[in-house]
Amino acid sequence: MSTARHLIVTAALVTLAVVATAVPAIAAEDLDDYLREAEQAEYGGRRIVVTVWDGESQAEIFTVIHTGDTMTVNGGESIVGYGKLAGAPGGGVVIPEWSSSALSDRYTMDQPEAVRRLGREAVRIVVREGDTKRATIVLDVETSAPLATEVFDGDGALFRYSTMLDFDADPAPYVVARGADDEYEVMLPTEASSLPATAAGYRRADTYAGPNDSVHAFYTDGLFYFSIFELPEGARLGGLDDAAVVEVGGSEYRRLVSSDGIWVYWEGETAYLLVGDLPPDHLEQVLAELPQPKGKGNLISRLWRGIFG
Amino acid sequence: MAGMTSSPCDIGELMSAYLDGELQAGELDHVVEHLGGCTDCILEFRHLKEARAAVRTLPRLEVPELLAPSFHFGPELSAYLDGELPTEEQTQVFSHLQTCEECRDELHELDAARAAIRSLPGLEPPVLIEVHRGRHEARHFGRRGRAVALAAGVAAAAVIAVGVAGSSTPETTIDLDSFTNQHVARASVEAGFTVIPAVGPVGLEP
Repeated sequence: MSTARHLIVTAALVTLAVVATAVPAIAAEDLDDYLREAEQAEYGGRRIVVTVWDGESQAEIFTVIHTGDTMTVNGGESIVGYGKLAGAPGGGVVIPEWSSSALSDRYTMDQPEAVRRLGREAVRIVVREGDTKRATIVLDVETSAPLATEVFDGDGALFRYSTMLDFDADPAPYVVARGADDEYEVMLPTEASSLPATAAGYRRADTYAGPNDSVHAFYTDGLFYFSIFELPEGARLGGLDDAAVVEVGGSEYRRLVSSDGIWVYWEGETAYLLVGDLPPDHLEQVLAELPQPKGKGNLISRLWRGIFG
Repeated sequence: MAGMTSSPCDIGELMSAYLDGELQAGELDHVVEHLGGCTDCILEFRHLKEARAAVRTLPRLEVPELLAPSFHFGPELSAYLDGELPTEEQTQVFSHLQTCEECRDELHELDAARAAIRSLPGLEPPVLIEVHRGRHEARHFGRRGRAVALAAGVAAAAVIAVGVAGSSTPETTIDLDSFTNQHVARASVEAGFTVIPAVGPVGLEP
Protein backbone atom coordinates (compact mmCIF):
# COMPACT_ATOMS: atom_id res chain seq x y z
CA MET A 1 0.00 0.00 0.00
CA SER A 2 1.43 3.33 -1.02
CA THR A 3 1.96 6.09 1.47
CA ALA A 4 -0.81 8.14 -0.18
CA ARG A 5 -3.32 5.27 0.05
CA HIS A 6 -2.21 4.55 3.58
CA LEU A 7 -2.91 8.17 4.51
CA ILE A 8 -6.33 8.06 2.82
CA VAL A 9 -7.30 4.87 4.63
CA THR A 10 -6.01 6.26 7.92
CA ALA A 11 -7.92 9.48 7.35
CA ALA A 12 -11.06 7.54 6.56
CA LEU A 13 -10.73 5.45 9.71
CA VAL A 14 -10.13 8.55 11.79
CA THR A 15 -13.18 10.19 10.19
CA LEU A 16 -15.31 7.15 10.96
CA ALA A 17 -14.05 7.11 14.51
CA VAL A 18 -14.87 10.79 14.91
CA VAL A 19 -18.35 10.32 13.41
CA ALA A 20 -18.97 7.31 15.57
CA THR A 21 -18.13 9.23 18.73
CA ALA A 22 -19.51 12.62 17.76
CA VAL A 23 -22.76 12.09 19.66
CA PRO A 24 -23.00 12.43 22.57
CA ALA A 25 -20.72 15.44 22.67
CA ILE A 26 -21.15 16.49 26.29
CA ALA A 27 -17.83 16.26 28.05
CA ALA A 28 -18.98 13.76 30.65
CA GLU A 29 -18.06 10.18 31.35
CA ASP A 30 -20.35 9.07 34.14
CA LEU A 31 -23.61 10.03 35.79
CA ASP A 32 -21.91 12.24 38.33
CA ASP A 33 -20.23 14.16 35.50
CA TYR A 34 -23.51 14.63 33.67
CA LEU A 35 -25.23 15.93 36.79
CA ARG A 36 -22.45 18.39 37.49
CA GLU A 37 -22.40 19.55 33.87
CA ALA A 38 -26.15 20.17 34.12
CA GLU A 39 -25.65 22.08 37.34
CA GLN A 40 -23.33 24.52 35.60
CA ALA A 41 -25.35 24.84 32.38
CA GLU A 42 -26.44 28.20 31.03
CA TYR A 43 -29.93 28.32 29.57
CA GLY A 44 -33.36 29.80 29.92
CA GLY A 45 -36.94 29.00 29.04
CA ARG A 46 -40.16 27.63 30.40
CA ARG A 47 -40.36 24.31 32.11
CA ILE A 48 -43.37 22.29 33.16
CA VAL A 49 -43.04 20.00 36.16
CA VAL A 50 -45.67 17.38 36.92
CA THR A 51 -45.76 15.16 39.98
CA VAL A 52 -48.25 12.42 40.71
CA TRP A 53 -48.60 11.09 44.22
CA ASP A 54 -51.26 8.66 45.41
CA GLY A 55 -53.46 9.40 42.43
CA GLU A 56 -53.24 13.17 42.75
CA SER A 57 -51.26 15.23 40.27
CA GLN A 58 -49.68 18.62 40.66
CA ALA A 59 -48.39 20.58 37.68
CA GLU A 60 -46.74 23.94 37.34
CA ILE A 61 -44.93 25.93 34.70
CA PHE A 62 -41.79 27.81 35.70
CA THR A 63 -39.86 30.40 33.74
CA VAL A 64 -36.21 29.81 34.54
CA ILE A 65 -32.92 31.49 33.76
CA HIS A 66 -30.01 29.27 34.71
CA THR A 67 -26.67 31.01 34.45
CA GLY A 68 -23.87 28.98 35.89
CA ASP A 69 -24.49 28.65 39.59
CA THR A 70 -27.55 30.87 39.80
CA MET A 71 -31.11 30.02 38.89
CA THR A 72 -33.77 32.70 38.64
CA VAL A 73 -37.37 31.52 38.68
CA ASN A 74 -40.38 33.40 37.39
CA GLY A 75 -38.64 36.71 36.78
CA GLY A 76 -37.02 37.03 40.18
CA GLU A 77 -39.81 35.59 42.29
CA SER A 78 -37.18 33.24 43.57
CA ILE A 79 -33.43 33.17 43.10
CA VAL A 80 -31.12 30.35 44.02
CA GLY A 81 -27.44 31.08 44.09
CA TYR A 82 -24.69 28.66 44.91
CA GLY A 83 -24.99 28.44 48.69
CA LYS A 84 -27.18 31.49 48.86
CA LEU A 85 -30.90 31.65 48.43
CA ALA A 86 -32.83 34.87 48.11
CA GLY A 87 -36.46 33.95 48.43
CA ALA A 88 -37.62 37.49 47.81
CA PRO A 89 -36.10 40.92 47.27
CA GLY A 90 -34.39 42.07 50.41
CA GLY A 91 -32.72 38.97 51.72
CA GLY A 92 -32.45 35.23 51.95
CA VAL A 93 -30.43 32.42 53.43
CA VAL A 94 -26.66 32.00 53.23
CA ILE A 95 -24.87 28.71 53.77
CA PRO A 96 -21.16 29.23 54.40
CA GLU A 97 -20.17 25.61 55.09
CA TRP A 98 -21.17 22.25 53.69
CA SER A 99 -19.81 18.77 53.13
CA SER A 100 -19.21 17.54 49.64
CA SER A 101 -21.41 14.57 48.85
CA ALA A 102 -20.75 11.75 46.42
CA LEU A 103 -23.27 9.98 44.23
CA SER A 104 -24.43 6.74 45.82
CA ASP A 105 -23.05 3.62 44.17
CA ARG A 106 -26.57 2.21 44.06
CA TYR A 107 -27.12 4.24 40.89
CA THR A 108 -25.80 3.20 37.50
CA MET A 109 -26.26 4.64 34.05
CA ASP A 110 -27.02 3.02 30.70
CA GLN A 111 -25.04 4.02 27.64
CA PRO A 112 -26.28 7.52 26.62
CA GLU A 113 -28.52 7.59 23.58
CA ALA A 114 -28.53 10.40 21.01
CA VAL A 115 -31.99 11.97 20.66
CA ARG A 116 -33.56 15.26 19.58
CA ARG A 117 -35.61 17.48 21.82
CA LEU A 118 -37.06 20.88 20.98
CA GLY A 119 -35.25 20.64 17.69
CA ARG A 120 -31.89 20.33 19.44
CA GLU A 121 -29.24 17.66 19.65
CA ALA A 122 -29.55 15.88 22.96
CA VAL A 123 -28.60 12.74 24.83
CA ARG A 124 -30.90 10.59 26.92
CA ILE A 125 -29.51 8.96 30.03
CA VAL A 126 -31.27 6.15 31.83
CA VAL A 127 -30.46 5.98 35.54
CA ARG A 128 -30.93 2.61 37.20
CA GLU A 129 -31.12 1.63 40.81
CA GLY A 130 -30.27 -2.04 40.77
CA ASP A 131 -32.54 -3.53 38.12
CA THR A 132 -35.11 -0.76 38.46
CA LYS A 133 -35.26 2.19 36.10
CA ARG A 134 -35.20 5.13 38.50
CA ALA A 135 -34.98 8.07 36.08
CA THR A 136 -34.27 9.33 32.61
CA ILE A 137 -32.61 12.63 31.84
CA VAL A 138 -32.45 14.29 28.43
CA LEU A 139 -29.55 16.72 28.28
CA ASP A 140 -28.92 19.35 25.64
CA VAL A 141 -25.62 18.61 23.92
CA GLU A 142 -24.64 22.24 23.39
CA THR A 143 -25.35 23.54 26.88
CA SER A 144 -25.67 20.39 29.06
CA ALA A 145 -29.02 21.75 30.24
CA PRO A 146 -31.63 19.22 31.37
CA LEU A 147 -34.32 19.41 28.68
CA ALA A 148 -36.51 16.71 30.16
CA THR A 149 -36.49 14.41 33.14
CA GLU A 150 -38.58 11.52 34.35
CA VAL A 151 -38.45 9.99 37.81
CA PHE A 152 -40.06 6.64 38.54
CA ASP A 153 -41.21 5.09 41.78
CA GLY A 154 -40.13 1.67 42.96
CA ASP A 155 -42.82 -0.01 40.85
CA GLY A 156 -41.62 1.68 37.68
CA ALA A 157 -44.56 4.10 37.52
CA LEU A 158 -43.89 7.69 36.47
CA PHE A 159 -43.75 9.86 39.57
CA ARG A 160 -42.35 13.15 38.31
CA TYR A 161 -42.06 14.49 34.77
CA SER A 162 -40.37 17.67 33.70
CA THR A 163 -39.73 19.12 30.30
CA MET A 164 -38.67 22.43 28.83
CA LEU A 165 -41.46 23.91 26.72
CA ASP A 166 -39.19 26.38 25.00
CA PHE A 167 -35.48 26.85 25.27
CA ASP A 168 -33.00 29.69 25.02
CA ALA A 169 -29.33 28.71 24.89
CA ASP A 170 -28.19 32.28 25.41
CA PRO A 171 -30.47 33.90 27.98
CA ALA A 172 -29.95 37.41 29.26
CA PRO A 173 -28.88 37.06 32.87
CA TYR A 174 -31.32 38.30 35.47
CA VAL A 175 -29.71 41.19 37.32
CA VAL A 176 -30.23 40.89 41.04
CA ALA A 177 -30.49 44.28 42.67
CA ARG A 178 -29.03 44.04 46.14
CA GLY A 179 -29.55 46.77 48.67
CA ALA A 180 -27.65 47.84 51.73
CA ASP A 181 -30.61 46.83 53.90
CA ASP A 182 -30.83 43.28 52.57
CA GLU A 183 -31.00 40.77 55.39
CA TYR A 184 -29.48 37.32 55.14
CA GLU A 185 -29.78 34.53 57.66
CA VAL A 186 -26.63 32.49 58.00
CA MET A 187 -27.00 28.74 58.46
CA LEU A 188 -24.76 27.78 61.36
CA PRO A 189 -23.41 24.21 61.53
CA THR A 190 -24.19 22.28 64.69
CA GLU A 191 -23.55 18.80 66.04
CA ALA A 192 -26.78 18.64 67.99
CA SER A 193 -28.85 16.30 65.80
CA SER A 194 -30.10 13.08 67.30
CA LEU A 195 -31.12 11.77 63.90
CA PRO A 196 -29.37 8.74 62.38
CA ALA A 197 -26.23 9.16 60.27
CA THR A 198 -27.82 7.21 57.43
CA ALA A 199 -31.39 6.41 56.44
CA ALA A 200 -32.39 4.07 53.61
CA GLY A 201 -29.20 4.73 51.68
CA TYR A 202 -29.19 8.47 52.29
CA ARG A 203 -26.32 9.98 54.23
CA ARG A 204 -26.70 12.80 56.72
CA ALA A 205 -24.27 15.25 55.17
CA ASP A 206 -24.65 18.27 57.43
CA THR A 207 -26.51 19.54 60.46
CA TYR A 208 -27.41 23.18 61.05
CA ALA A 209 -29.35 25.34 63.43
CA GLY A 210 -32.80 25.70 61.87
CA PRO A 211 -35.65 28.19 61.99
CA ASN A 212 -37.53 28.63 65.28
CA ASP A 213 -34.88 26.81 67.32
CA SER A 214 -35.21 23.68 65.25
CA VAL A 215 -32.30 21.46 64.22
CA HIS A 216 -31.81 20.94 60.49
CA ALA A 217 -30.32 17.68 59.21
CA PHE A 218 -29.60 17.47 55.47
CA TYR A 219 -29.54 14.05 53.82
CA THR A 220 -28.53 13.13 50.28
CA ASP A 221 -27.64 10.14 48.14
CA GLY A 222 -26.20 12.38 45.43
CA LEU A 223 -29.31 12.16 43.27
CA PHE A 224 -32.17 13.08 45.60
CA TYR A 225 -32.05 14.98 48.86
CA PHE A 226 -34.16 15.99 51.79
CA SER A 227 -33.96 17.94 55.01
CA ILE A 228 -35.42 17.02 58.37
CA PHE A 229 -36.19 19.76 60.84
CA GLU A 230 -36.43 18.56 64.41
CA LEU A 231 -38.52 21.01 66.40
CA PRO A 232 -37.59 21.92 69.95
CA GLU A 233 -39.09 19.81 72.70
CA GLY A 234 -42.70 20.67 73.31
CA ALA A 235 -43.15 22.59 70.05
CA ARG A 236 -45.79 21.46 67.62
CA LEU A 237 -46.88 22.56 64.19
CA GLY A 238 -50.51 23.36 63.68
CA GLY A 239 -52.68 24.74 60.95
CA LEU A 240 -52.05 21.96 58.47
CA ASP A 241 -55.75 21.77 57.71
CA ASP A 242 -55.26 21.06 54.02
CA ALA A 243 -52.46 18.54 54.48
CA ALA A 244 -53.33 14.95 53.68
CA VAL A 245 -53.25 12.53 56.58
CA VAL A 246 -51.41 9.46 55.34
CA GLU A 247 -50.46 6.22 56.98
CA VAL A 248 -47.00 4.81 56.45
CA GLY A 249 -45.95 1.64 58.22
CA GLY A 250 -48.96 1.88 60.50
CA SER A 251 -48.14 5.43 61.61
CA GLU A 252 -49.83 8.69 60.69
CA TYR A 253 -48.13 11.59 58.95
CA ARG A 254 -49.34 14.88 57.50
CA ARG A 255 -48.26 15.47 53.90
CA LEU A 256 -48.21 18.32 51.41
CA VAL A 257 -47.13 17.76 47.81
CA SER A 258 -46.20 20.33 45.17
CA SER A 259 -45.07 19.82 41.59
CA ASP A 260 -41.45 19.67 42.69
CA GLY A 261 -41.33 18.71 46.33
CA ILE A 262 -42.91 17.15 49.38
CA TRP A 263 -43.42 18.17 52.99
CA VAL A 264 -44.12 15.54 55.65
CA TYR A 265 -44.84 16.35 59.29
CA TRP A 266 -45.14 14.00 62.23
CA GLU A 267 -45.00 14.03 65.99
CA GLY A 268 -42.96 11.59 67.99
CA GLU A 269 -41.10 12.39 71.17
CA THR A 270 -40.57 15.69 69.40
CA ALA A 271 -42.06 16.96 66.15
CA TYR A 272 -40.37 16.62 62.75
CA LEU A 273 -40.79 18.18 59.32
CA LEU A 274 -39.26 16.57 56.23
CA VAL A 275 -38.76 18.67 53.09
CA GLY A 276 -37.40 17.09 49.94
CA ASP A 277 -37.77 15.71 46.46
CA LEU A 278 -37.35 11.99 47.01
CA PRO A 279 -39.62 9.45 45.30
CA PRO A 280 -42.46 7.72 47.19
CA ASP A 281 -40.76 4.38 47.80
CA HIS A 282 -37.63 6.10 49.08
CA LEU A 283 -39.74 8.28 51.35
CA GLU A 284 -41.42 5.25 52.84
CA GLN A 285 -38.08 3.56 53.49
CA VAL A 286 -36.62 6.74 54.99
CA LEU A 287 -39.56 7.29 57.34
CA ALA A 288 -39.23 3.70 58.56
CA GLU A 289 -35.69 4.42 59.73
CA LEU A 290 -36.43 7.73 61.45
CA PRO A 291 -38.02 8.40 64.85
CA GLN A 292 -41.60 7.18 64.66
CA PRO A 293 -44.80 9.09 65.28
CA LYS A 294 -46.59 8.45 68.52
CA GLY A 295 -49.40 5.93 68.46
CA LYS A 296 -52.69 6.69 66.88
CA GLY A 297 -54.09 7.61 70.25
CA ASN A 298 -52.28 10.93 70.58
CA LEU A 299 -54.32 14.02 71.23
CA ILE A 300 -53.95 15.73 67.86
CA SER A 301 -54.78 12.57 65.96
CA ARG A 302 -57.86 12.03 68.07
CA LEU A 303 -58.95 15.60 67.60
CA TRP A 304 -58.28 15.39 63.87
CA ARG A 305 -60.32 12.24 63.49
CA GLY A 306 -63.03 13.60 65.73
CA ILE A 307 -63.43 16.70 63.59
CA PHE A 308 -62.75 15.38 60.12
CA GLY A 309 -63.49 11.69 60.51
CA MET B 1 -65.80 22.38 36.19
CA ALA B 2 -65.18 25.96 35.24
CA GLY B 3 -65.18 25.08 31.54
CA MET B 4 -68.92 24.57 31.65
CA THR B 5 -69.84 27.91 33.03
CA SER B 6 -67.47 30.54 31.67
CA SER B 7 -67.36 32.32 28.31
CA PRO B 8 -69.11 30.80 25.29
CA CYS B 9 -65.89 29.60 23.57
CA ASP B 10 -64.29 27.85 26.50
CA ILE B 11 -63.64 24.40 25.07
CA GLY B 12 -60.30 25.02 23.38
CA GLU B 13 -58.33 22.93 25.84
CA LEU B 14 -61.04 20.30 26.06
CA MET B 15 -60.91 19.47 22.38
CA SER B 16 -57.50 17.87 22.59
CA ALA B 17 -58.61 15.81 25.56
CA TYR B 18 -61.77 14.92 23.64
CA LEU B 19 -59.70 13.50 20.81
CA ASP B 20 -57.73 11.49 23.34
CA GLY B 21 -60.91 10.18 24.96
CA GLU B 22 -59.75 11.74 28.21
CA LEU B 23 -62.68 13.99 29.04
CA GLN B 24 -64.12 13.72 32.48
CA ALA B 25 -67.76 13.24 33.31
CA GLY B 26 -69.85 16.16 32.13
CA GLU B 27 -67.19 17.62 29.88
CA LEU B 28 -68.16 15.49 26.89
CA ASP B 29 -71.72 16.80 26.83
CA HIS B 30 -70.43 20.33 27.08
CA VAL B 31 -68.01 19.90 24.18
CA VAL B 32 -70.59 18.24 21.95
CA GLU B 33 -73.20 20.85 22.76
CA HIS B 34 -70.81 23.70 22.09
CA LEU B 35 -69.54 22.25 18.84
CA GLY B 36 -73.11 22.06 17.66
CA GLY B 37 -73.42 25.80 17.52
CA CYS B 38 -70.00 27.44 17.22
CA THR B 39 -68.52 27.73 13.74
CA ASP B 40 -65.12 28.91 14.97
CA CYS B 41 -64.74 25.98 17.30
CA ILE B 42 -65.90 23.51 14.67
CA LEU B 43 -63.17 24.83 12.37
CA GLU B 44 -60.55 24.65 15.08
CA PHE B 45 -61.70 21.16 16.01
CA ARG B 46 -61.29 20.01 12.43
CA HIS B 47 -57.79 21.46 12.20
CA LEU B 48 -56.83 19.81 15.44
CA LYS B 49 -58.28 16.48 14.40
CA GLU B 50 -56.50 16.59 11.07
CA ALA B 51 -53.19 17.47 12.70
CA ARG B 52 -53.50 14.69 15.25
CA ALA B 53 -54.49 12.19 12.59
CA ALA B 54 -51.61 13.28 10.40
CA VAL B 55 -49.12 12.84 13.23
CA ARG B 56 -50.27 9.34 13.96
CA THR B 57 -50.20 8.24 10.35
CA LEU B 58 -46.85 9.71 9.43
CA PRO B 59 -44.77 6.88 8.05
CA ARG B 60 -41.45 6.23 9.67
CA LEU B 61 -39.54 6.17 6.40
CA GLU B 62 -35.82 6.26 6.08
CA VAL B 63 -34.91 9.51 4.35
CA PRO B 64 -31.61 9.66 2.46
CA GLU B 65 -29.23 11.91 4.32
CA LEU B 66 -28.77 14.18 1.31
CA LEU B 67 -32.50 14.84 1.17
CA ALA B 68 -32.87 15.52 4.85
CA PRO B 69 -33.63 19.15 5.67
CA SER B 70 -30.89 21.22 7.21
CA PHE B 71 -33.12 22.79 9.84
CA HIS B 72 -35.57 21.48 12.38
CA PHE B 73 -38.63 22.77 14.13
CA GLY B 74 -38.58 23.12 17.89
CA PRO B 75 -41.48 24.56 19.90
CA GLU B 76 -43.56 24.71 16.71
CA LEU B 77 -43.96 20.94 16.91
CA SER B 78 -45.86 21.24 20.14
CA ALA B 79 -48.06 23.99 18.72
CA TYR B 80 -48.56 21.88 15.61
CA LEU B 81 -49.75 19.02 17.73
CA ASP B 82 -52.40 21.24 19.23
CA GLY B 83 -53.45 22.68 15.89
CA GLU B 84 -52.57 26.14 17.12
CA LEU B 85 -50.28 27.24 14.32
CA PRO B 86 -51.50 29.63 11.66
CA THR B 87 -52.55 27.77 8.53
CA GLU B 88 -49.44 28.70 6.56
CA GLU B 89 -47.10 27.61 9.32
CA GLN B 90 -49.13 24.45 9.86
CA THR B 91 -48.61 23.58 6.21
CA GLN B 92 -44.88 24.30 6.44
CA VAL B 93 -44.46 22.01 9.42
CA PHE B 94 -46.51 19.29 7.78
CA SER B 95 -44.38 19.47 4.63
CA HIS B 96 -41.21 19.43 6.69
CA LEU B 97 -42.36 16.34 8.53
CA GLN B 98 -42.62 14.45 5.26
CA THR B 99 -38.88 14.54 4.85
CA CYS B 100 -37.47 15.02 8.35
CA GLU B 101 -37.17 11.81 10.26
CA GLU B 102 -35.74 13.54 13.31
CA CYS B 103 -38.66 15.93 13.65
CA ARG B 104 -41.10 13.08 13.12
CA ASP B 105 -39.44 11.14 15.90
CA GLU B 106 -39.61 14.13 18.17
CA LEU B 107 -43.24 14.71 17.27
CA HIS B 108 -44.16 11.12 18.07
CA GLU B 109 -42.28 11.35 21.33
CA LEU B 110 -43.96 14.62 22.18
CA ASP B 111 -47.37 13.19 21.36
CA ALA B 112 -46.71 10.18 23.56
CA ALA B 113 -45.50 12.35 26.41
CA ARG B 114 -48.54 14.56 26.26
CA ALA B 115 -50.85 11.59 26.17
CA ALA B 116 -49.02 10.25 29.22
CA ILE B 117 -49.39 13.54 31.05
CA ARG B 118 -53.07 13.70 30.23
CA SER B 119 -53.52 10.22 31.59
CA LEU B 120 -52.17 11.29 34.98
CA PRO B 121 -55.01 11.36 37.46
CA GLY B 122 -56.38 14.70 38.48
CA LEU B 123 -54.13 16.82 36.28
CA GLU B 124 -55.45 20.12 35.04
CA PRO B 125 -55.31 20.02 31.21
CA PRO B 126 -55.22 23.81 30.86
CA VAL B 127 -51.73 23.90 32.32
CA LEU B 128 -50.50 22.20 29.19
CA ILE B 129 -52.72 24.05 26.80
CA GLU B 130 -51.76 27.39 28.31
CA VAL B 131 -48.29 26.96 26.89
CA HIS B 132 -49.36 28.14 23.47
CA ARG B 133 -51.67 30.87 24.57
CA GLY B 134 -49.12 33.62 24.86
CA ARG B 135 -47.49 32.76 21.59
CA HIS B 136 -50.58 32.69 19.49
CA GLU B 137 -52.87 34.98 21.42
CA ALA B 138 -55.44 32.26 21.61
CA ARG B 139 -59.05 33.15 21.41
CA HIS B 140 -60.21 30.88 24.14
CA PHE B 141 -59.72 30.93 27.83
CA GLY B 142 -59.71 27.79 29.84
CA ARG B 143 -59.92 26.38 33.27
CA ARG B 144 -56.64 27.80 34.40
CA GLY B 145 -58.50 29.31 37.29
CA ARG B 146 -58.75 25.86 38.80
CA ALA B 147 -54.98 25.58 38.86
CA VAL B 148 -54.77 28.99 40.47
CA ALA B 149 -57.36 27.94 43.01
CA LEU B 150 -55.33 24.83 43.72
CA ALA B 151 -52.24 26.96 44.22
CA ALA B 152 -54.14 29.21 46.55
CA GLY B 153 -55.31 26.20 48.51
CA VAL B 154 -51.80 24.90 48.91
CA ALA B 155 -50.59 28.34 49.88
CA ALA B 156 -53.27 28.56 52.49
CA ALA B 157 -52.20 25.20 53.83
CA ALA B 158 -48.66 26.41 54.07
CA VAL B 159 -49.27 28.76 56.95
CA ILE B 160 -48.15 27.04 60.04
CA ALA B 161 -48.64 28.01 63.62
CA VAL B 162 -46.05 26.85 66.07
CA GLY B 163 -47.36 26.56 69.57
CA VAL B 164 -45.52 25.33 72.59
CA ALA B 165 -47.76 22.74 74.11
CA GLY B 166 -48.46 22.98 77.78
CA SER B 167 -46.43 26.09 78.42
CA SER B 168 -47.06 29.77 78.68
CA THR B 169 -44.91 30.55 75.64
CA PRO B 170 -47.01 32.62 73.23
CA GLU B 171 -47.81 31.02 69.90
CA THR B 172 -45.50 31.96 67.06
CA THR B 173 -46.82 32.02 63.53
CA ILE B 174 -44.36 31.04 60.83
CA ASP B 175 -44.73 29.70 57.33
CA LEU B 176 -43.15 26.80 55.52
CA ASP B 177 -40.93 29.20 53.60
CA SER B 178 -38.53 29.35 56.52
CA PHE B 179 -37.92 25.63 56.35
CA THR B 180 -38.10 25.39 52.59
CA ASN B 181 -35.64 28.23 52.05
CA GLN B 182 -33.10 26.65 54.35
CA HIS B 183 -33.50 23.29 52.66
CA VAL B 184 -33.14 24.86 49.21
CA ALA B 185 -30.08 26.88 50.23
CA ARG B 186 -28.35 23.67 51.26
CA ALA B 187 -29.63 21.77 48.23
CA SER B 188 -28.33 24.46 45.89
CA VAL B 189 -24.78 23.23 46.37
CA GLU B 190 -25.76 19.71 45.34
CA ALA B 191 -25.59 18.41 41.80
CA GLY B 192 -28.57 16.14 42.26
CA PHE B 193 -31.75 15.59 40.36
CA THR B 194 -34.07 18.39 41.41
CA VAL B 195 -34.81 20.55 38.40
CA ILE B 196 -36.54 23.44 40.14
CA PRO B 197 -34.90 23.83 43.51
CA ALA B 198 -36.34 27.26 43.99
CA VAL B 199 -39.94 27.22 45.01
CA GLY B 200 -41.96 25.20 47.44
CA PRO B 201 -45.69 24.72 47.47
CA VAL B 202 -46.93 27.34 45.08
CA GLY B 203 -46.76 30.86 46.38
CA LEU B 204 -45.93 30.05 49.95
CA GLU B 205 -46.93 33.21 51.67
CA PRO B 206 -48.09 33.58 55.21
